Amino acid sequence: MADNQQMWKELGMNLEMHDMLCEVLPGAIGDVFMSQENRPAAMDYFDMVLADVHGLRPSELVEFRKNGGKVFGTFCAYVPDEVIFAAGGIATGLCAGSQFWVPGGERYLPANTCPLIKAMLGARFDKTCPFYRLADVYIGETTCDGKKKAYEILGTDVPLHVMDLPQMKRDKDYLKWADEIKELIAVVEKTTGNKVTAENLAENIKKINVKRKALERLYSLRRNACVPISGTDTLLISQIAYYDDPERFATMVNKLCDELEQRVKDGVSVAEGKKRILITGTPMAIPNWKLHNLIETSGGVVVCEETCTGTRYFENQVDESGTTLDEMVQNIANRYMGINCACFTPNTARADDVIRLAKDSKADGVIDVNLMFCQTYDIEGRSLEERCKAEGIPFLGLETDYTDNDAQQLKTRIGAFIEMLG
Amino acid sequence: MEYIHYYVLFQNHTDATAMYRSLKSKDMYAQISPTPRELSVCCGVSLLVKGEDVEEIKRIAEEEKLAYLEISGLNNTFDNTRHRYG
Amino acid sequence: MKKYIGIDIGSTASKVCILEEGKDPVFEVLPTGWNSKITAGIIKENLEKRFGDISDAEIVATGYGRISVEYADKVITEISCHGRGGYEMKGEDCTIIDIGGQDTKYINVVNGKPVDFLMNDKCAAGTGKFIEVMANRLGLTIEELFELAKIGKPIAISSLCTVFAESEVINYMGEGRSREDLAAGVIDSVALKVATLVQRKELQDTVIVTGGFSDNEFFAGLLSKKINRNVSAMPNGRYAGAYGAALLAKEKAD
Repeated sequence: MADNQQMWKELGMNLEMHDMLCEVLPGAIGDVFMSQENRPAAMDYFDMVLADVHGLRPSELVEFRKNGGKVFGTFCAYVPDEVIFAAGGIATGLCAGSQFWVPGGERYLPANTCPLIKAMLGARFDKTCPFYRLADVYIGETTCDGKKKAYEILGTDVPLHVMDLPQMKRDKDYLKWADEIKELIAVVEKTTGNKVTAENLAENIKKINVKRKALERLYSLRRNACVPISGTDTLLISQIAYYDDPERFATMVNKLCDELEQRVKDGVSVAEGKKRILITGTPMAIPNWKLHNLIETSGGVVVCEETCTGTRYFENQVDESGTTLDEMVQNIANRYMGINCACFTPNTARADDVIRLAKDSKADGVIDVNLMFCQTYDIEGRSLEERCKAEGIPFLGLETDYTDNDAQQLKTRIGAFIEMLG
Repeated sequence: MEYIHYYVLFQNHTDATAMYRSLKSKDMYAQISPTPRELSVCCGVSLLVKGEDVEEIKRIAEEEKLAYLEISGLNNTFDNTRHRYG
Repeated sequence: MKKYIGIDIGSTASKVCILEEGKDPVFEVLPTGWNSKITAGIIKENLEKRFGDISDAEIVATGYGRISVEYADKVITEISCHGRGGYEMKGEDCTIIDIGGQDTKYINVVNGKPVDFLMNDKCAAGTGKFIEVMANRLGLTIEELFELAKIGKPIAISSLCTVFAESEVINYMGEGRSREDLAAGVIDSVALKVATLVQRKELQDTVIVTGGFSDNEFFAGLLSKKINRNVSAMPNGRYAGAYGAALLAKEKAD
């Protein structure tokens, strides 16, 4: 589309280099998504977003900014979108999911840094992701040492605000996170020039809750014996959740769920005779579809993701009963502190989540997949394996990065695991 | 010459959406697809359609004044075991 | 007579097992070479020479080159095949440690079925490749390396990487250390790396070694000490994958 080229140019992107990404992505989308059979018709919206992932939403953000709107780029499920939208801003995810961006990141970071962080800096400094060009402020968070230090580098050429996420879950930590949210409100207010009020915050708490509920509905439909949608398609939806307009996104997810409910009634399954797999571990940012594609072409179907591009993103709602700004902020803090990330100690609640979700989704096995050099998740793998085994749930631990070269090795492990379940 | 896939290319996604809705309302096959690099340098949305429908689509476009740039064939395959993710 | 054939295309060697009712299993081995498709073709020719037409035989392919066996009826991963074959050879539940040409595998077999596994294939340390590289460096065949290792006092080789370990060995050679001590060091380091790999996992009282060095009593003894279990050498252990594949071919057909 001619429009895109012009927009990217105006955004100061490196067109020549970005072109290389445009060259490989359509092929990957064809292989991973369009090769699937019997997809729900209402995936068309998400296909559209994906087909023009660097054009469609960015062009909306360009318009929004032309009218004085401010865009906040975020990296993590802990950042409360509610306050950003309350101040009339837009929160958007930022690119970090492709090997394409990794070499660029390695110019700034040691090679033994997790690929997500390397891709983050590569996408920014190579100027090959429009979202980095569109964000007026980046909102970081202290979820791991790699990110903390990478933000220092990222913050050298754009305004950056880092939220100090507590690493324990004592009462004082919940209060501390509420304080951090108040600081975010101050940053957001200063950037947008709009006040966050009890009224607009209440409205946006509801709005984001609606979005989370839509995803909850989608995930609950996958629990049926008849699986109405592939894990690969669901992963795409979870990834798009970070970028899209929350209200439109919720509407589209609910529309899809209507179709999936009918599929369940009619007994339409995309996974006849396949082994049900729960994935747990590190986030899978666009276009990281590797594990889902490998599993779903090896006799498995992914029925749940206990990841930041999965249940961690939408489970638990913000209590809507708050009336004052302070109450609302605390309620928001409480909801987000309920996410169980490996950066916390102890983090046994994550294992509880995995067991609960594995049972609810009737998973035949759990695959724990971690990005290379993600120390916290890697260390947790062992205790998670013990918990799963104690519950009689077969468990496979995998480590990978964004490259394609371990695909066959992973396929052997995944294939063997699925044979073992049979 | 027959191609494996046929793509309708557009100037912008509004035109693509309009064509998609029209074809779907007639129960015709159309799938939203990223534009293969071989067909355009501009990325963005295209519609994957069936070769046997191409003439009918041209007719519909004319009749309903649906804008598109061109309809092109391409011998690309979708292979879910290629495991190349970009 | 119906035949069940297991073909295990490994990175270094390809193994074939033929099962026929009322007969002992027949095992064959040939080098994989550079192209597993060609190897698969040679295996087919050999089978046809022996039996004539093999189109009614049930064939299961496994191993890293398993997809190259286009005439196979079914493809099964090496984990399932090694588990099945190792269990049959040992005759009881056991933990299997397979030392292959390019990877090392841990497979735990309970009630005759693999229930857990681990693979190291990102790195040559603790694999047959490491032994091959070091034997070459020391100017020995693999058999000679093992023989010398028996009489040597192991020199600690601390590098985790095969390439660096080779430099380490070159340094020791420069210092004039004895070949038998270096040979002992090489074998000891492989046993140590295998032990490190499997120590995170549950080990049963019965542990067997499969793969290229499976019939080596010396290596099994060394590994016994490192993992504190009774490790048995298996005379036909290198055929465990092919044997398992043939058994699974029969089970699928039955």
